[in-house]
Amino acid sequence: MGIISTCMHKVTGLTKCEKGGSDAKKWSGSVRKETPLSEIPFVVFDTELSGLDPKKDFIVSIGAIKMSGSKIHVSREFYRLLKPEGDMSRKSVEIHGITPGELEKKESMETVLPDFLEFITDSVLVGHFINIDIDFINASLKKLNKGRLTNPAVDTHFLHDWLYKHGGEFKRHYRGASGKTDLFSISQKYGISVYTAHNALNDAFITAQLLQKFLHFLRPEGIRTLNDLLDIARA
Amino acid sequence: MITEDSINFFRDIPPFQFLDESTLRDIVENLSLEFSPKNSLILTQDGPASDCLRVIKKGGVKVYLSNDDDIVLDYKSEGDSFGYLSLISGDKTRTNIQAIEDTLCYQIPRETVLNIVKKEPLFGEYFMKSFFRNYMDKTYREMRNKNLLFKEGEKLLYTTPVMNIASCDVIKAPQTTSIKDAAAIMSQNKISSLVLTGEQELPAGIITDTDLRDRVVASGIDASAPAREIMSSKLVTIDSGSTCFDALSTMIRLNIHHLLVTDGQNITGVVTNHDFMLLQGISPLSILKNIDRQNSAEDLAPIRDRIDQTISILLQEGVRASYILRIITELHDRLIIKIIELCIGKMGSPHCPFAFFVYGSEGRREETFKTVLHCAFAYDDEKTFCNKRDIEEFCRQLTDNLQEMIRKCGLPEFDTEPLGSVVPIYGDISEWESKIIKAFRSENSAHIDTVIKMLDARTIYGDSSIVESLKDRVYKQIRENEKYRAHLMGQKAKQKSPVGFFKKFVVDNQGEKMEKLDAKEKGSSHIVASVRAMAIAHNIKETSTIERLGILAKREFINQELMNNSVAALEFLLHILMQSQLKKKELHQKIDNCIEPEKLSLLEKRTLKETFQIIEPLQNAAERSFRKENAGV
Repeated sequence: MGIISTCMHKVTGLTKCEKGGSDAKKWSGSVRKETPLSEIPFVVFDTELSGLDPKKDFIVSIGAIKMSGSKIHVSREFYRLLKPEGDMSRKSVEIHGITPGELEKKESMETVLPDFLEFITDSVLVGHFINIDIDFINASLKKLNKGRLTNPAVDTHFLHDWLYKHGGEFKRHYRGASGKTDLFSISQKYGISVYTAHNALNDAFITAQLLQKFLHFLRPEGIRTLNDLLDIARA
Repeated sequence: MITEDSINFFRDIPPFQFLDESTLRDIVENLSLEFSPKNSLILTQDGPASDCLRVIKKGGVKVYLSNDDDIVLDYKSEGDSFGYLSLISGDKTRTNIQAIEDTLCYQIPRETVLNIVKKEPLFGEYFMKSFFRNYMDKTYREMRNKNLLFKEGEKLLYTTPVMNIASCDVIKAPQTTSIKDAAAIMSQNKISSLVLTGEQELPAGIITDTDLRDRVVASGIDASAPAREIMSSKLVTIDSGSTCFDALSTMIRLNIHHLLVTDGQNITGVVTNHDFMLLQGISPLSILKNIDRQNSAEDLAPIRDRIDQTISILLQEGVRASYILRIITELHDRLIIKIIELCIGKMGSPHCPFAFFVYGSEGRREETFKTVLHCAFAYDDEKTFCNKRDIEEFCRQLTDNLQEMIRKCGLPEFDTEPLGSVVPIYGDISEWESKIIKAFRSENSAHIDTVIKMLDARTIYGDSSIVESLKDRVYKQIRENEKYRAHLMGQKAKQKSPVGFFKKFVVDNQGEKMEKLDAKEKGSSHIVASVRAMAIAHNIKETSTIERLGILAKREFINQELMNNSVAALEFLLHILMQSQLKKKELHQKIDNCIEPEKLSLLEKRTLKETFQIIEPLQNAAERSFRKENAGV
């Protein structure tokens, strides 16, 4: 999700406890909880939104990229712009730079969602403040009577919080951790180049690079499997 | 979006830049991106073989061997690849590769790499030792293309076949044709030369407008006489496939203005000085002619600028350094000869054979943009009964006059006291021999450096046997004395060259990073010194490094491959040096031998790195040549 979502997220005080999102316990996918970190199939994704209320706002674009453990598969990407389902606020247009005119002839959520579900299959979902993205996807699924996402999901924001508290080698390596939580401040702190901000695919790619770095510093702290990962950063 | 960014990344990276679009897409299809934090080992010496080819997207790595001490072999940064050799061999990794910064690498799986190699064999060559010569042409092409100074209108056709500019309509006449009729044919056809044929209409000679002017008009030969009486019977020909540059070079060397182009036995065209002038605007031949016509230093001054302009154009055209150096040497030699002739014209000739010789890079015919003139005089007073004082006085006066004229011409002045104030710049053979040997015996490193350069002496005016016999005597003494040989093998023939580049730095084997690379000090001088040492060990009098290498290989003192690699390495170093000097000249900056790695492309850096690696085997060969000499082999 874009920066507007991140800010609003803080305001509304969403946490993983209050909003459960998807639930790995109910999940029947093929990825076992004992899967080592290096073998977990991840789909890192992000959405650009017209606002922050899943009841009245809608998804403008979805971007996603696949990873296997810490390897980013650069050509396994997903990016779609969506036909607006209502009015777009001026503020959201200013942030992601996508105008309603550009979206008029794009596909509807009805067409895009099945493709997105096919792309993510039973991968572990990853995002920065991913609950909002999942809520929006679930709202769309609900409107189309297609159930809800059940994939396990990891939030890089929680992962960063955990490393901030427990990652000794992580803090030594980066000479302290970032006190800020938004995607771009964090990216800057950990040396990730940001070329185009607020594009769902680019933001997903940045998040993927964050996950890649974080995963490396989890091993020394004894986090070795999907189960361990979900214990510390489940969305 | 991310796929496209990745393809764009590979479009600028050698050897991927030479792959077609669909192959690049195949690569990216299976590409992944992996992160390695600073200090982590990416590949481990004696560990399993790499399962992918890694290309650094961001960050940098150190390649080293762990023995008792770590030996750094290389540094690699953005755009560099590693892991190819172990991937191909499939047995084990032979070096440690450690991230020296947080590093992001693209990983291309083994299968994909093998498919590309199968399809594009040259791709694999890039990572092998054979890279150097196989990729040299591509490097030169890239250098030519990136040269922003290049102007289409100035395009010379030095790199195209001579046939492209030759006039194909060769007019012939029997050699029995009268001079008058021959002149009429030339006039009617508006041509400046006529090929005369003998039996079976085979070409027997050529007459040119110069022959008509000089041999008929000036000498008063009867115009009804057969044209064969004034023809040049030696037909100078060039194969139609040769480059225009070869043609030009032949014409300069022989001082002729017409050259017949042949296809096997048949004459298919004729190329003239005029053809080149039309194409170039500035012709080395016309410069040569111009030098010959001048009668004062002031008139020679503008010609010096034209020489530099010609060098610029040749460089922009991407002509190989060895060709350019041939032209520069020829033109500069001619300019200096003219200046000496003007001086002697004023002073009168000496009564004793003497030689004006150049040494150092001029002696080796490797002078780029002229920064300093290395020269001296030698005479042979044993051959005549002339008074030694007279000849000394003549040399002193000639030194003064020459220096003054050189100054007026805008040429760099020469050091009139190259071996210190008590040692004059002139002397007879014995005096020079003792000066050189004395310097060798001394511990004065400045003098030793100068006299080592003097070993590359080449006569450009006067009696060349004086300099040759001096070289004979000095070379012999060096071969017979261990201490002198030690000086010859000194620093340059032993010093290690840089191991590679890291981002904007050039890195030596101690890991020290330098922002500038002195291409002469750290590169070409090592080749020159090693080859000079071998030439002296084997009594080869030729001074040009490339020629010396050719003779060494011909006499089997070095193998053909080392010879070819060394020639290519020296050519590349000189070429890149001249390119950098040219840019500095255009920007009115001080001309030096430094190159900024930041301004080099990845392909240029890679080629330079390979160049450095050729130096060591050459240094080893030089070392061996004296060992053999010691053992009396």
